[in-house]
Amino acid sequence: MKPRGNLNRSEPKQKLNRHSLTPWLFLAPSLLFVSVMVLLPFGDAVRRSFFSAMGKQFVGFKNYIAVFRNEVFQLAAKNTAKFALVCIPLLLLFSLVLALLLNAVKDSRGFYKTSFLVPIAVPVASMVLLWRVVFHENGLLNIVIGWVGLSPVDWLNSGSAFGVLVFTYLWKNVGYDMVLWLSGISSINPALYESAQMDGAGWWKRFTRITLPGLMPTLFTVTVLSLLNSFKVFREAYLIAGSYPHDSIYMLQHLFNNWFVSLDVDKMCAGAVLMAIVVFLLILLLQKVWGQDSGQGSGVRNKEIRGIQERGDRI
Amino acid sequence: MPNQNIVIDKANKYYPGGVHAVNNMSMEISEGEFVVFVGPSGCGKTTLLRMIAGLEDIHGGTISMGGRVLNDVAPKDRDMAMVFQNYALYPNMKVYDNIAFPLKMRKAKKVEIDAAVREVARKLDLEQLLERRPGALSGGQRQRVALARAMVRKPKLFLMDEPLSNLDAKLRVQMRREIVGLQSELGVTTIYVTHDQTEAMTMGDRIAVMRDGVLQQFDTPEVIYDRPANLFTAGFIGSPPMNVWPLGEGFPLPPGMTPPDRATHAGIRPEFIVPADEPDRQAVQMRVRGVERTGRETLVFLEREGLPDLAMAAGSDFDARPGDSMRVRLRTEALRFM
Amino acid sequence: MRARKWLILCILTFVAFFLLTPLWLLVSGSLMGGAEAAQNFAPVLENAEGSAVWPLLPKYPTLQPLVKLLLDSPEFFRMFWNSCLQVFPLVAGQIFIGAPAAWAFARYDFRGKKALLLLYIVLMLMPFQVTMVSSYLVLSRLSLMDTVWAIILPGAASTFPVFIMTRFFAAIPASLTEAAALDGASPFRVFLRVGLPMGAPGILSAVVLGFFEYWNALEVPLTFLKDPTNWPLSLYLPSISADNLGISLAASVVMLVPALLIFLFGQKYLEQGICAAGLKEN
Repeated sequence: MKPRGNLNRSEPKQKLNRHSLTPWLFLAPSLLFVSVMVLLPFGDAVRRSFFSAMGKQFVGFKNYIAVFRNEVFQLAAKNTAKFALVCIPLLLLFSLVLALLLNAVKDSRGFYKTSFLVPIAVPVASMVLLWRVVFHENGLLNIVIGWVGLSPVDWLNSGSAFGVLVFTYLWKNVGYDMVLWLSGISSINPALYESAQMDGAGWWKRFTRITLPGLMPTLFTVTVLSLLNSFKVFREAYLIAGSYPHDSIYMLQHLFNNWFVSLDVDKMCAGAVLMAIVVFLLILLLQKVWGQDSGQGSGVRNKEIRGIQERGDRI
Repeated sequence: MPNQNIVIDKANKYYPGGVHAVNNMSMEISEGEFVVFVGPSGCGKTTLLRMIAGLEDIHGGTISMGGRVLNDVAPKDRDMAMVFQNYALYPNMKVYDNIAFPLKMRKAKKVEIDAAVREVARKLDLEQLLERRPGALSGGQRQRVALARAMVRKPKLFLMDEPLSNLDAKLRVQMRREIVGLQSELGVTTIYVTHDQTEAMTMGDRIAVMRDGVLQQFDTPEVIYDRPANLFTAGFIGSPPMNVWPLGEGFPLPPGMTPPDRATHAGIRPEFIVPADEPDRQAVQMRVRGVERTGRETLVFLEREGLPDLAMAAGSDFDARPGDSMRVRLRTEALRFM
Repeated sequence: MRARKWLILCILTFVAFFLLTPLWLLVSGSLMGGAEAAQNFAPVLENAEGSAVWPLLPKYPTLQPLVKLLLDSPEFFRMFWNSCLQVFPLVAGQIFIGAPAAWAFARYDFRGKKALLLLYIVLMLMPFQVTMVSSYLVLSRLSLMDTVWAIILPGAASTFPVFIMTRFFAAIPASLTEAAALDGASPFRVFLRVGLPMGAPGILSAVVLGFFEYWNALEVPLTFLKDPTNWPLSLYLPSISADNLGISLAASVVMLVPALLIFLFGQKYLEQGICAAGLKEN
C-alpha cells in the first residue's frame, strides 16, 4: 500500500473542490443573518463589557465586578440556579413516570399523549387571568386548602410564588420531556424484554436491568436540554407576577429587563458575556455527553427520520 | 460521431483508513456492449460503477468516454443514467413525473416529454400506473419505473447497481430477461453490477470479475467459465465451483499433457467428471460424501484420502447415496491450468 | 395484570384531567357574561369579601363577550394582527433562510463544517439573556427598535430551525439525490425537487415549534417594543385589568385557538421536532 503522505497528494478531494462553492451558496443567507444579527454585535458586546457605559473609557473588569457585587444580580442568579436545581429533577421524574406509564398501555395511548402535550401549545398569556383567580389569596386553590383545614396563603406574593412557578413550569413542559423519554424507550430493543421474560425476570428486574440502563443516554440529553430550557422560565414568572414579582421568583431575565429599561448597557454586556460563558460550559458538557458513545447515540430516536430513510430506501 | 467506448485507465480509489477500493483498474468497454461487474461484496465493483457515474471522485488514473476524460465532469453532464439497488424513485412524485424528471431537468419541451414518457411506459408496460405514486407499487413495478426513468432520455450509458437484488427469485429471472432484451433492442452500452454469478453469466456480453479492488478477468461468459484465468475466478464462477488442486498433487496429468510454465494449479468443471466402468484404467475409486439433487441434475460430492475432494455433476436420474463407493474418471480434455 | 393496567389508566386519566382542566376552565370562562364574570372574580380582582368562583360551566352561558370582542374592539384586532404580523413572517423567514443552510449541513462536506455546526448548536442553545444585548445593539443602530422588524429579524437569525431541519435532510437516502444529479438536476434543483419534498416533515416540525415559541413570545416584544400599539397579544393579555374582564377572557381563548389548531394538525411534527432536537449530533 502506498504511504499515507503520498496518498494524500494523489487523492485531492476533487469532487469536493469542484463543488466547494455550492454548500457555501446554500449557507450564505443564514451566515449573513447570523453574523449581522448575532455574531458581530456579540463581539461588540464583549468589547463594550470592558468599557464604561458611554463606551468611551476602558474600565477592565470593572463592569464584571459591578455585576457580581450587585445584590439584585446575586438574588437573580441564586433564584435561577435554585429553580433549575428544584425543577429539573422534578421535571425529569414526572416526565419519566408518565412516559413509562404511557408505554405500559399500548391502547388509547394517543389521547393521553395529546393531553400531556397540549400545554406546550398553550400561550402563557392566555392563562394569566385563570392563574390569578386560582392562586389569589381569595382564589380557588385556597378554597381547596380550606377544605382540609389549612389557612389561606397569598400564593403569588409570598415565598410560595416559587412553588407556583415550579408547578406552572412542570405543567407546561412535562409533555416535552415525556416525548424525549418515549423515543428513548422505543429505541430499546424489544427482544431484550422478551428474552428477559423467558429468563423469568419480573417487571421490576426488567425495569432496573433493561429500561433504566437503556435510558441512560437519554437521561443526559433530557437533562441538558431541560437545563437550557429552564432559562426561559421568565415567561411563566411574568405570567404569574408581571414585571415586579416576589423576590423568590426574581429571575435573571427580570434583571436584564431592568438593566435594559435603565439602559445600563455596560452591565448588560458584562452580564451577557457571563451568561454566555456559563451556557457555553453547559454545552461543552452536553457535547461531551453526546459524543461519549458514538455507537449507541443519544438513545433518542426519531421515528419520522427513520421513516424518511425507509420510505426512500424501499421505494 | 466517434465511437463511445468507455476506457478505464489505471483508475484508483482509496477510502479513509487506507482501504484501496479500486486498484489500478484498466478496461475498455465497447459501444453497445453489456458488461457485468461481478465479485464478492467489497470487491470494488459498485465503487467503480459510481466512479464512472461521477458519484465518487477518482484518485489517480482516468475514466473516459468517446475519448473525453470524465474525471472532472459533473454527473449531470456525463449523459449516463443509473438504476439504483433501492430504485431511488422520488416518493413525492407520481410515476409519470418520476419518468419525466430527467427530461424536465434537461428542459425538454412538454410535448416531447409527454411523448417520450408514454413511449417508454408502453415499452415497459407501465401505462396503467402512470398516475400512481411509487409507494403504491410492487417491487417489480418500481423496478420497471426505475428502468423507464433511466431509459427515457436515451443516455449514452446505462449503469445498474444490483437492480434485481430486492426482487423475489421468480421475478428476478423474468426481469433479467427483460433487461437483456431491452438493452439489445436499444443498443445502449450498459454496465451492470451484481454479486450473483448466475446473473453475470446469463446477462453479460462480457464479465469483469473483481476481487479486493483488482480486476481478475474480463472476458465473455464462455471464456470465463471455460478458461478461468486464476483460482479466484475458477472458484467464484460456476456452482458448484471448479474442482482445483495444486499441480503435482492429486490427480496425475495424462501422459503428454504439459501445463503452461506459470501454472500452479489444475482444475476441472464438475460436469467433466463421469462415472467409469470397471476396466477403465484412468478411473479412481472414491467415496460418496454427499448428494444434492437440484431436479435437473444430481451433484455428487466425492472424497478419498490423498486426493482433493471432487464435485461431480451427473444427470438427474443418477443414483448414489452417501457412503457409496464409486469409480469416476476425469475427462482430461477438459482439464484447465491456472 | 388486569388490575395493574386499570391502575395505570386511572393515574393517566387523572393526570390528563389535571393538565386539561385549565383549558376547560378557560373555555367555560369565555362563555361567562361580563356581569357573571365580574361577580365571580370580584374577590380576586377587587379584593371583595369572599372567595372567587370559577364554575365548570357558566350559569348563564353567552357568546356576547366573544361577539363584542370580534365586532367591537379594534384594540384587540390590532393586537391580534400585530401577533400575526410578527409571528408568520418570522417563521417564514426562519425556513427561507434556514432550509438551504440545513441542506448544506446535511448533504455536503466542506471545510470547517464541524466547527460551523458546533457554532450553530451553541447559538441555538443560548438563552435570550445572552442575545438580547447583541440584538439591541444592531436594532438600535439600524433604528429598527419599536418596529415589527425588531421581532422578525433576530428571530429569523435563530439557528434552532437549521438544526432541526438538518436532522431530517440528513436522513434522505443518498441514492435519491444521486439519482437526481445523474438525471441532470443542478444542486439547487436537487434541493428544490428532492430535498424540500422529502424533508417536508422536518420543515413542518420547525414551523410548528417555531409557531409555539413565537406566538407565546414575551421577552423579545417586552424589551424591544416600547409602544403598546405594536404589542402582540402575548404581551397585551397579561396587562389587562379588571374593567374589561369578559373581553379579556374571550381574548385569551381567541389567542389560544390558532395555537390549538396548529397543535391538532401538527402534533406529529411537534413530537418529531422535539426528538430531532434531542438527537445526537454527528
